[in-house]
Amino acid sequence: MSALRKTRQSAAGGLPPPEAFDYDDDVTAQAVEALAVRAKPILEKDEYIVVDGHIGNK
Amino acid sequence: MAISEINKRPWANTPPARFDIVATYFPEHTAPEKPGLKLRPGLVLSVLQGKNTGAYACRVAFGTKNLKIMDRSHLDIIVQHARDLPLLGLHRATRFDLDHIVTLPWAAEFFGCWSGRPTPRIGALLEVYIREYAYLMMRRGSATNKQS
Repeated sequence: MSALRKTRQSAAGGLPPPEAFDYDDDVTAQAVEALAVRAKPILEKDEYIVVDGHIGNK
Repeated sequence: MAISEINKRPWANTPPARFDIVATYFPEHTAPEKPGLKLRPGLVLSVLQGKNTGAYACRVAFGTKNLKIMDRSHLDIIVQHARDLPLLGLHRATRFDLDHIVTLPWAAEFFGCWSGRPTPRIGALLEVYIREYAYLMMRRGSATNKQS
């Protein structure tokens, strides 16, 4: 099956995209921390308020 | 392509809703020489907006196919019923890890679209799992209070 046909089938709700299956690894603190570090300089540029949902206890 | 250009995706102006499931970039390797960002499902726990810029951000819990049912069913949201998966937009049983939650800007640097999809939104949590989330967070809060 050609790549183009696969993409069309996925878009039409046929075959699921490959990304739908490829997340076997565990969620690690190190990986999440790496994302937080990348996000920090962007988030620091503004003051963010919750507009949908509240920050629950953890 | 510059990040400012990447962030001008049409969906970037439309934030997800709380309890939406979205495709998030997650580092499969933390080593700098192997950045390895891959899309995986993430559960939006709250949506934030910048007071000055109007930009959106989300608190996200990441999904994994590593269910760890015996160890984590009392701590995380685990979606595994075959009937529920398509309703949530998922194709495999998934555990959303509530231990590691992070706030991310709603931008193409952190969220992406599955092949053939116009937005990062995959689906939304069903009411039964929203109730489970509330229960889990209550238990977590209760456990934290007992420890302190």
